Amino acid sequence: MTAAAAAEHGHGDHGHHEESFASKYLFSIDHKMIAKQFLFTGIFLFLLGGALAVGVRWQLAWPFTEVPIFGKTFSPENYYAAMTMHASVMIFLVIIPLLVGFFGNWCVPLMIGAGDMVFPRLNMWSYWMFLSGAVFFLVSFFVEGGPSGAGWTGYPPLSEIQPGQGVNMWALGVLFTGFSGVMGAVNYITTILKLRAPGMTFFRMPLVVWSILITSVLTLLATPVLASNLIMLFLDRVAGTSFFVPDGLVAAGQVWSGPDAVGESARAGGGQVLMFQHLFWFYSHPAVYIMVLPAMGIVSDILATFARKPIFGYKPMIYSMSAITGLGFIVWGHHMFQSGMNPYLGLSFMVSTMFIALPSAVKVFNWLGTLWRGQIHFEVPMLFALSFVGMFIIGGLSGIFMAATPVDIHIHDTYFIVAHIHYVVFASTVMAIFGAVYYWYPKMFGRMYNHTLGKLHFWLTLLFLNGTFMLMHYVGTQGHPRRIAVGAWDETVQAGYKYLEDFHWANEVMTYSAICLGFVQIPFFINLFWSMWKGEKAADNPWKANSLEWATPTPPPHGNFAGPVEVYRGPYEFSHPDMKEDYAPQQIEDGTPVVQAQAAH
Amino acid sequence: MRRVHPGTVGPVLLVLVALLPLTACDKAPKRRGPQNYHEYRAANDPRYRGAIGDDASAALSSDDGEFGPASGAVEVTSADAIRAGQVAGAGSVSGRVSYAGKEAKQKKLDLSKDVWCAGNHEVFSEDLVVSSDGGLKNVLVYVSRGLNRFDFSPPSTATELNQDGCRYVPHVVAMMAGQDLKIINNDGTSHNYHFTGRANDEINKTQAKQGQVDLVSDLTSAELSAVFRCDIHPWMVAPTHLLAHPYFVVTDEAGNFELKGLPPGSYEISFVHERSDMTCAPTTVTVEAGKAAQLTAQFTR
Amino acid sequence: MTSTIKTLIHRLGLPALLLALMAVPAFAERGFLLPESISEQGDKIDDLFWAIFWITGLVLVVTEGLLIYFIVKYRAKEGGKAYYTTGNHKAEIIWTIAPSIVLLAIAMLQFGLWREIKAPEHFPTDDPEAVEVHVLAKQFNWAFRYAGPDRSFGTDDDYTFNKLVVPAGRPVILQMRSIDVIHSLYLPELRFKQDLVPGLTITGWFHARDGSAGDYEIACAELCGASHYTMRGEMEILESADWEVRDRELSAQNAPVDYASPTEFFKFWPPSEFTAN
Repeated sequence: MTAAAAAEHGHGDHGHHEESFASKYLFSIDHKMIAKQFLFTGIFLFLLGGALAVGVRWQLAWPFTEVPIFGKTFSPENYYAAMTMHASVMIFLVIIPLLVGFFGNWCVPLMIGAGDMVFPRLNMWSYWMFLSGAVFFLVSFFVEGGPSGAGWTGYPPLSEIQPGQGVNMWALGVLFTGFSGVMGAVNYITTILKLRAPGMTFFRMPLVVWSILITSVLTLLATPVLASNLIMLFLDRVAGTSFFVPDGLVAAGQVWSGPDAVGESARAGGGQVLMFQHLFWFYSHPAVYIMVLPAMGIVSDILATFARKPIFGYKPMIYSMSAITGLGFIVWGHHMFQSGMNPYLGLSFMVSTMFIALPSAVKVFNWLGTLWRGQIHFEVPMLFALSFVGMFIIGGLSGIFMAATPVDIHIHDTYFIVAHIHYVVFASTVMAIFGAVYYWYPKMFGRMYNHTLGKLHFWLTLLFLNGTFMLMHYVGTQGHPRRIAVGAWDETVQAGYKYLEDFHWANEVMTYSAICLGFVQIPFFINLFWSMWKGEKAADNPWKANSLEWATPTPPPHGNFAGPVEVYRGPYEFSHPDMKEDYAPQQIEDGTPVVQAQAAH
Repeated sequence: MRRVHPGTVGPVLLVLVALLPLTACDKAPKRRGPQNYHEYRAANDPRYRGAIGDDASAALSSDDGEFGPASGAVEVTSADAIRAGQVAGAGSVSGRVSYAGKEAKQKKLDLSKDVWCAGNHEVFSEDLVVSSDGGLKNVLVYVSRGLNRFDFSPPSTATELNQDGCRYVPHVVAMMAGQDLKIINNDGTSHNYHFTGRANDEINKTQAKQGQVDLVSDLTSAELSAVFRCDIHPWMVAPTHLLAHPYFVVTDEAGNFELKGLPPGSYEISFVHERSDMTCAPTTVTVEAGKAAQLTAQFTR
Repeated sequence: MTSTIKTLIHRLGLPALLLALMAVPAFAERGFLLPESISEQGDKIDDLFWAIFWITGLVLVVTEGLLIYFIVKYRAKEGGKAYYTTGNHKAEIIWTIAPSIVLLAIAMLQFGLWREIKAPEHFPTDDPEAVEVHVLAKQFNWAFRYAGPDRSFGTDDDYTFNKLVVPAGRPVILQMRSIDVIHSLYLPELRFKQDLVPGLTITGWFHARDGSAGDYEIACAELCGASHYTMRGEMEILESADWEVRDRELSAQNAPVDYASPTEFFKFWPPSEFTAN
């Protein structure tokens, strides 16, 4: 252990039993407690985002009818607010914080053999920044005019002309979560570079650590661009600047920008609308990889552990993740094929986009190679990891349709893209998150989750997520635009599209399925909280895994490791023919695991 | 018991700072000089001032000049009583607004954008409605000077704006600033009501379904010639007038009007019509207790 | 019993799954997944769609099939031991090169088509048959300005109409503007979609095939405000001769465009800016 970690370690040990409630649970500087703060905040917001999603689905199946429980009919404003906040909450407050804030915090120091993060107090700040962002989002539900209804992309001029404080709150919320992300990224990169245990070379790090390292680089480079963009949007709204306001915009019959502008909100004009989109996607495309790379790392670890096999092609896995990072910065324009940017620019973005599919393909083949001739144990985390692979293939392949620029003309901004993003972010990433929660649950809380509930949760979630998202491809190719409040023609409101009348059944099926998808998360929550107190006591290394987090006492104390740790081999030495056991923990020199009474099979 | 580390004060402060903008949510910033491009232009460019209709807000002058109720006249502050004509010892002003100029004909509007509207209704333009004998409908008649002594509270009942048959009923909204406005969608199609004025905040809401009723109570500042419009049906535009007192009325089909419950004294009466290409000068009138003063006015084009 | 089921899964499961997945595209005639195309460019887009559908479909079947096969075949057995391997250099090279060739092929397939549709030098501006229409979008309406029978803008027979009325069998060039927020003109049957960006005049074109006369719908594909869902437009495609008649008729009814009165739509696109591109 390095000096810094050791110092932190000793410090933690002494203070451990004397900590006040506030310093232990609220202003903790222990990375594991911060991870749990991220976990529980994220889960609470996941419920909120999920409820909003069900509301959106309700509106699409039965437009402008009373939503049960909520007891109200959607107004179009509320619908667009729900849609916007569903996406924003899920992306900025659930997926990214859970993957990076929760898993990054939980895994990185434990897996590299460090006592804590290198900047524990910055780590705490990162959580509080994130919480401030979340507060902005939550508060926006109660401000005048309601939350932003401009879509999670917040394209101006729509986001500039929406009255009220909603969009301001939204921009500040995203800005604060962005700060949080950058703080976390700096911390992860430094921790991984400086605090690795002796013997933990770069190529002995588990793929989770690699994925967090690569994600952090992405976050660090991309987030400032988004921040500058949001600040410009914010200034446009509150200070009357014209970054994104071209000349001659008209609202309510009056010109309100440029030399002819009249009215209270009149401004100078001369801005560029498309600049927002460029800057936004320069961040938000890498953000998609921020949302999937850690999940890939998690899945790699789970697959190797439960297939009892080394990961197939460890280095190609790392190279492909790095390739995704590099390419990830030059593909943003594929969100803008129909936006009016130069069509030749579209061609170059098309080629780079096609090639970003390559590293993902390599990863899929390597996962399949990992399963090949393995000994697959169907524990709950493994089920989720396997479904990740299956669903990620679907999500990845549907991306190729969008990357093909001419096909994109038809399916751009339709439900096809909604299906694609949900296969990548829900069916893949959220499933990986579930898998990871189950996988590290025994280490985190010292008790085992209930296997039956876990399996029930998995199978029902898999069923209903496909029921919800698969049909979106179908209505999408039929031309169902995304972000409309009424799909098929509706007589009572005289809106919607007649060409979609034949496909309204699909909207209803998807809604039924989405409602069920919501309800089948109940076993997960029961399992999460019930097992925390009533679960069976867990062994230190219940999965017989190799990486360092399993070498700690359960649950790990402040400071993590009971003694100095040294690393002798890579993290995936399973089923080596020369070894008696089918696993070889990284920290044990001769490769023979310490036999533990609880771990006997 | 270990003390909380001083560094933890940071996050608390952070959350507090994060919440700061909330406190400023509904308050207008108080600064000197032009606060936005509009004010800058207005301060430097007289043509611009005219373009945005500052003359309309000037009509709500706070300078009574020689006008005002006679000394000892009845005190009135209850808008409810005035609207009901229950002010003892007060007089009234009645008369007629007429139109002279080019022939005025209501054009049939193209409703084909909305299948429901086109299938169920015929709508004619309402920006210039003249009766067979020349009476001008939809003119706002109001007391523009002589009432500064009084401080009126808005009436307790809401006024209504119906979206009925793909048009606004009434076509002109005249109400007291601070009064509630009930907006009703009577149509089998979606409408949205989009209010833009200068003194009041913008309102932009959609009423998706028939029978929806919204109560708007944010129109609290007096201004003339604001507008409600429907962004879905571009032909639907309702001129909206918010008065600081209850002495106003909109002329009927024949161009007739009556202002009730005025304390005896002299007043200036002004007339506003939505067409910018016709005008009508204000008139002076003297009101006597228990009597109805008569006056006529004419818009020419 | 269980062994019988296992055998069934082993022997029949994979082929059955493959067959089931093969059966899906059997229904995949035009009109099943995509609305029927009414333009040549639309057909080409559909061909590309189906090419990608088959390629990705094959990859999907193979990879998902392998995944399921491995899951079934290599499930943990009592006393079994996994085969130790850390990877295979040759395999990595193969499955890096092979997809990159496929991806490159898909990329090459579309270069020409994308340029044909979107590149300015391919716009049929020189075609004497071409019809030019100005499109102006605002919250939440579409408006279209036509040159009238004399085919030139800025003359007295110009007219505006709230429907897109175009001839079949002739190229139609659209000049598009938005006056407030971003809208997107989406004509599903023509495989046409283009964002209308405030501050820019964007040109697009399509060519409805002969015999495609009929009524179609215009969708707005970009969120443009709370009433975005009401921004439905209508398109009328007429055979060329019928269209000429209809054009004259509409011109007689609606011309000329009244730039003086505040019709809002075209007040902000004066004749001096007609040829922006």
